[in-house]
Amino acid sequence: MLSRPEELLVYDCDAYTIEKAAPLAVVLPTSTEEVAAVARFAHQHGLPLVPRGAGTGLSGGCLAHDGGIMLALTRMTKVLEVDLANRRAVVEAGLVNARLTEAVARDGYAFAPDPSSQSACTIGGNVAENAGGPHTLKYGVTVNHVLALEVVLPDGEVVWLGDRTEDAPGYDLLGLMVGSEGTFGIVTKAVVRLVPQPEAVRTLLAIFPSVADASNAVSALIGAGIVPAALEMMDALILQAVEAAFQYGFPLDAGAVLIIELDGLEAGLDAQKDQVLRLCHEHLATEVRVAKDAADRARLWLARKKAVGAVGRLSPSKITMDGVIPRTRLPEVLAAISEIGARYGLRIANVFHAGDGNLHPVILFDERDPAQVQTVLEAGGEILKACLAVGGSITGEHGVGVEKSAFMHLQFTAADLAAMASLREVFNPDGRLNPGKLLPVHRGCAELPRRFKGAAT
Amino acid sequence: MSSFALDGLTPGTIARPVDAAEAGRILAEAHAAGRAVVPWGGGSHQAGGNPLARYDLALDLRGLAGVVDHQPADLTLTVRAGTPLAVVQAALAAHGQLLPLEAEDPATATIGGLVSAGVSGPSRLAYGTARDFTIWTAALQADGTAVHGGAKVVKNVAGYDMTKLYMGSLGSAGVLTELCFKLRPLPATRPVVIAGFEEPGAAADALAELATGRLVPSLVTIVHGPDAWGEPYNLAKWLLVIGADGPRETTSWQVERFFGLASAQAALITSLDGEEALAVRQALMTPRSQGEVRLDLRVLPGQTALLLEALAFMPEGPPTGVFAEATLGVVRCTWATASDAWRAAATFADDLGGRWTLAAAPLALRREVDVFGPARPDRALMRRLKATLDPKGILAPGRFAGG
Repeated sequence: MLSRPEELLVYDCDAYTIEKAAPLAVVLPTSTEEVAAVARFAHQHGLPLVPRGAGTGLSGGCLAHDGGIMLALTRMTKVLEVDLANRRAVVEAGLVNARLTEAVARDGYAFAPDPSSQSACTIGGNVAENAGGPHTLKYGVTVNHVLALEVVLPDGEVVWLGDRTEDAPGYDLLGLMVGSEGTFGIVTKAVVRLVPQPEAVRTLLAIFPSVADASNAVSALIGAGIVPAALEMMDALILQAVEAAFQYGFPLDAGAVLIIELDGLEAGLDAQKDQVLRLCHEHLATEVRVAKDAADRARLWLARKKAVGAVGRLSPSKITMDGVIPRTRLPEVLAAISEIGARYGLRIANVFHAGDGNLHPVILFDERDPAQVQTVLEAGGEILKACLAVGGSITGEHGVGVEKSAFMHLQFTAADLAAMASLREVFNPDGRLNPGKLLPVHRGCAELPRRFKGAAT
Repeated sequence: MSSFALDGLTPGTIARPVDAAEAGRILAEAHAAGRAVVPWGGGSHQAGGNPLARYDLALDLRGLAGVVDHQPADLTLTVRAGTPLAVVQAALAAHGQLLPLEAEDPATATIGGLVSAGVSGPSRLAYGTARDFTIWTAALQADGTAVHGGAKVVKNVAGYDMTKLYMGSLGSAGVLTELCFKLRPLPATRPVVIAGFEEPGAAADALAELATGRLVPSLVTIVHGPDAWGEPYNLAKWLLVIGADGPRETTSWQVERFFGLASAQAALITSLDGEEALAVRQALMTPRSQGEVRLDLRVLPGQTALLLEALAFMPEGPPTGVFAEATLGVVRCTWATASDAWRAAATFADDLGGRWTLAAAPLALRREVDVFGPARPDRALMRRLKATLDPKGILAPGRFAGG
């Protein structure tokens, strides 16, 4: 357990660094029984309880609560069971996502959800946010790959939701728990699905003169009935940053690139690749490169997954936004984002999952300047509104957390939000578990969060 | 359909709203008066659940029909809950797209009904079930208030995933009025391979290889049924049907491999393509609704062969029909006439550490047994959930796992 101020500093925020808060103490349990004991203690003393994985979240989902206990699951990292014949594994919630796939990779299996933060983020965190990553278009998100969860409820009761077998009878409590952002219960163990690694992969880098051309190509690919394993876009500013960081060989004069990955059985894959090549050229691709071998593919994905980090080197601070729109509206919303950036005088880079319309505008700024912070929050708000205006969502994978709770009323009606609040009471009756997250604390006007306290110096 | 009677109860009122707003008003009125309501679609899946405690009003939602919006390039479809599946599939096929729902009677079964009853077919191996591709719902709460969950985009994590409340919950969580789904491209080819066996154990080796997923089958179903059910049930005692979905070059390769896997032990083996293959896929959905007792068993995939052998050699004889998604561990049994044989089958699943649900049974039996199987600790949460969603207990009271 940690309680000295200098020890607590590390836990004062997640990757949403604009907001910071210190918990009363941080507890790092090593077993479900310890988690339950902490929960019982918090319950008996009426203390807020905030669960935390690796702290890679981008919406302030594990922001501490004043006077509360933070419960970090990072010491519960065991792979408890691997059952390849049944394509299942049982793991502790603090296990790092990439470690899970590594544990089964040699046998030819993987855990499909692979967010960019997978070398650090935990399975428990993935469950809390219903994490996605670049391969969700074909493979789905965390809720499609979890069969059962061991959960500690806020009163300390330990319960299993779902089942190792399919179609657990009754209400889909598992489906409700996934994506509940740590406000329904603390996940301690998960029974996950394993997927066989595909026999063959073709990874293409398609280069376009503009973001609009790349967006049109995305629509064309999906419209042609192709379901790529991944379909990612990076714009010029991202390309400059990743090329400086990784020297992959990205073209610095391109408007945008698409990373298109096809996978499946070897038979027929080249024909599909040829179809993709044709469609890209038909939509003004200046060049399409095919990754030569596994090493080339790995370097390309490393650059993509570290892109946001690379862009972050261009300025003291950055905020990675998250919004989803229908794929067909990509050109107009990307244009809107560009216009918003110009109007606010902010540099905005775009790297995102084009295949499912999940945008990640990265706004560059300096958080030491409160005026810039305010500008960024306002610009971010406009971007979210632009997503909603075309029938999208305020978050595709980062979650609502504290970052977006004030926007929930723009996407949902009062009745919808009341229903969500009622649902939360089923699991978290006194609201002590991860308070202030996901649901708006103050309903009504579109007040931008004004909780910024300034960066620690 | 002539009667709305269920569980020995006949509703005093049958309401047929023309739209969601009217449905909301009807429901609000019923709620205020404490009248118990059961939502209706095509009526093909009303046999499930524990007996209704009360039943005053049948809410026939077939007036809420039609496609609201189809965005082919976004792969999304919004449709009213009372629309028959066949109408949706025809509209989508015209654009080369597919909604991966399957029904025994697509012309009658409605979208809302299929989702509420948790109906799934063999293609779930490739595409998942309704909870995997339902992305947005509009529903009426017990008091008639309209609520929405999810978003009409293929990826979304805003708020709690309220769509999950309605998955398989037999109308007890709310009345679905409209749904939005994530679609799939219609595969260019959908061939099937059919292998016939004297007993299911002979297919064990083929199953083990298929379960690894390396051949990417889109369907692996073992079925058993009387000759009277027609093709393919009359080809052999036990059939292993393996499907592939995709471009011709890929599925031809797969079909060849499936042949290689199954032919060693099979008494007969054949492959079908085009319309014939589609007819077989549809036949695998029928006739599931026949039989006085229907039991759904769930075990681990690797236990399926064992379970099927136990079913094949029961002292009472095998169930009239068996439909097993063999690489998923989902085994559905039907008995033409009620007997206690289902208890032995349920015990097999219990002994293997699996679960079971009585999907249909005579009223007397459902009054005696909890159809959802022995309650586990999460049942308390389910009761709390139902009490929160429907404090007056007017939506199909008594029917689902939360009461």
